[in-house]
Amino acid sequence: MKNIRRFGRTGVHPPEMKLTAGSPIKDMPLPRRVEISLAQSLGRPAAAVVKPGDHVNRFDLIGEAQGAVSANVHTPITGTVKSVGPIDTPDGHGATGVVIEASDADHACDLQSICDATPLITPDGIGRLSPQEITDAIRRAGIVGLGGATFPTATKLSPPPGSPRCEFLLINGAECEPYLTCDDAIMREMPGEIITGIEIMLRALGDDVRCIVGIEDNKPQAIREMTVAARSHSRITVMPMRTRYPQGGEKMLVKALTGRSIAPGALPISEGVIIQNVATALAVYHAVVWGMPLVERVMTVSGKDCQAAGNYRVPVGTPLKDIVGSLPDTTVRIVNGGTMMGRALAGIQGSTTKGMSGLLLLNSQEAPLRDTTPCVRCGRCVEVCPMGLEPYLLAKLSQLGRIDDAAARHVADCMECGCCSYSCMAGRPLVDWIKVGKSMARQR
Amino acid sequence: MEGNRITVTGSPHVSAKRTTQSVMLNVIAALLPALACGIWIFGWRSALVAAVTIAACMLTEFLCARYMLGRRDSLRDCTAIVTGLLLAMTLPSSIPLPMAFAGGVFAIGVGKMAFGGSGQNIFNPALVGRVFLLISFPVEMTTWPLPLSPDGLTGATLLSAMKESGVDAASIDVAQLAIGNMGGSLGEVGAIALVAGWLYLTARRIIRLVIPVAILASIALLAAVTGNSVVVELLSGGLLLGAFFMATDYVTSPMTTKGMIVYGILIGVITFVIRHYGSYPEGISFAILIMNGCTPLINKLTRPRVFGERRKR
Ligand code: SF4
Ligand code: SF4
Repeated sequence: MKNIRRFGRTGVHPPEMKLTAGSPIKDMPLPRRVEISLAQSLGRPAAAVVKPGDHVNRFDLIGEAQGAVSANVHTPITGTVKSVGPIDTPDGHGATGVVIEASDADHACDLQSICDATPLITPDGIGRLSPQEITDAIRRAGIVGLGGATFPTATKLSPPPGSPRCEFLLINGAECEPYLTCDDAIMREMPGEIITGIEIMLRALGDDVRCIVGIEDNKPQAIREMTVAARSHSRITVMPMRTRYPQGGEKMLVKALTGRSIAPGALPISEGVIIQNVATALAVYHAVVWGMPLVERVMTVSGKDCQAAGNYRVPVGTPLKDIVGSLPDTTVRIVNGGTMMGRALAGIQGSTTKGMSGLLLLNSQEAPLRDTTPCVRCGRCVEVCPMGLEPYLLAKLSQLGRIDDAAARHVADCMECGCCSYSCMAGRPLVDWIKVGKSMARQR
Repeated sequence: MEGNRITVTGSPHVSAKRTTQSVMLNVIAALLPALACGIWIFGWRSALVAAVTIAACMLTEFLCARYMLGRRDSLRDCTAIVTGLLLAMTLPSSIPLPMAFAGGVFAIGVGKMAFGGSGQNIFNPALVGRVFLLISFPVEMTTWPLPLSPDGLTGATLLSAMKESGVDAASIDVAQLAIGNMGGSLGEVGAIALVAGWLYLTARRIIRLVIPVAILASIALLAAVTGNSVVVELLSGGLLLGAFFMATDYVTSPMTTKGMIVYGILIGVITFVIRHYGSYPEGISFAILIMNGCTPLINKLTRPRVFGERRKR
């Protein structure tokens, strides 16, 4: 393949571990009980609009967005609201959520409605929608960035007045995290739907906006399928990118696909770019064409000893226990997300959210514990840092509480990609310290 | 499920395989051919000297770490072995063993632990030990046994011979230099062995090419410009040992590529100046130590550019 894009020579290439790369997407059966957190987006949690005892239908609104960075929450099942209040979350912090249980009749009714579903508009109907209608539909559907950032999509698609003109819509199909294959799976199986989703977003952004879909070259089938699907759309280009972590990071992706560098502290729109994930494009398709709110997503369950490994279409609010059953005896680490940026969980608790792209059950070989020895100033962390920072120094300054010095060395620009800790031969938890420094610098 | 011991730590949850220990073991392995060369040329006493300096370094490291820093595991990263081995490589094989031992104690005690242990020192500990010996015992440190002479005759190293008695560079057999058949410290002879070790470390990506290439290139250029023999200049005076294994020490060399280039070139220039205009025939030890001292400054001046930061116009 010629013209392969890359963001630069920094970053790392961890073992890809895409164990579930070829697996087809399996449907999780509709659960009979869901626990849906109302904190499903970056901003404030949604406010509950149902109360215990209410009967709700599949796709009904149960939580209303509170401001532009908050998002609506809907129910994936028909049933009766059991409670509105504290629920368990995977990270153990707990959140306010809605618990809904389905009776046999409710369940049967849902299964029927899935069979009976019909699209609201035909493909050529997209051109007749106004940008406003599109962003409204996306906002109503509670769509957030499914790459993990959970920033409301509608807000991103309508930059505030006075922003630079948007020239590019970049679609992130990098999936540079080890293990995760859910974006790969949807690109292989639903390229047409994703391209339609992109078309809808392009319609909302304006006629002069072009779209580039960036896919890493360890996903050749996805590149092929997406290229074929995009063939009849002159404004959509699929570009392969050389596999390199963290290519899916916002600034890296913009650099790889457009050659532009976003200044420290600036947003992509400052370079005329808006970024959406492939899974988000799929959700937009479902929302606009089928009138379906964001109540399910595809996620990867993986790990060498994980019996349940695969790509699943999972209703939001499905208890994690329903997905993995019991833990393999050898599991020593549970990760929500990928191994580079995901969060370690204390156990299988809580239920899935919109932002959850992976659930990994890792054994002691896959996620070994490391001894921490003194920094030998080898410079490897500096060499790999995609943001051009000095991780050893930032970690030290944060540890010493010298937050002003850390701020002067751009601690705020750390994207928390983990390349530094990954490569540190002394096994130092650099990112942990840098995160502390970052949050202290923010509080100033 | 109850039987699982789940660990919760921050991301990332995977890491590269390399550890400080594995890196140091690789460095030791890379030094072994040169040590073997030293043993072949100067006899088994070379091995004895190395054993003594390594023992001295390990003992000093252990005791200081244990009683000054309260750390029991400081030997595990194997840096003390590397220091001991490197120190031995810079000594004449005829050095009295108590002196070798004292050198090892000084290298670790003053060169490393006094700064706070691993990763904290400014100067390369092995070179600190060597310079300490050179100043304290100038006679023993500059009496070099003649190669392949079992009766222990001693003579001058090539550079000092050239400097002091005007040996003509043209009369020197380059092939003999390459296999190490010359006077010198037990590890600096045997260019081929040193190059092999260096190539190994470079191929395993343990050290980068930048520093050694910058040093060798700048010296070669200076030699050529001033009409000296480039080959003799490169193959003598411990230059290869210093450029490959000492100037590349992680702790005491700069962090960024830019910094490494500056550091390497300046080491080359200083070495050349000391060799030709100073009073010591070998300049590389001092050049590296001087640049070690400048490394914090170089690091400050050659910060990486933050992503997206625009150059001021
Ligand atoms: S990678 Fe680790 S040992 Fe090397 S300089 Fe960075 S913090 Fe220090
Ligand atoms: S300092 Fe931040 S941006 Fe740089 S490698 Fe570490 S985690 Fe990534």
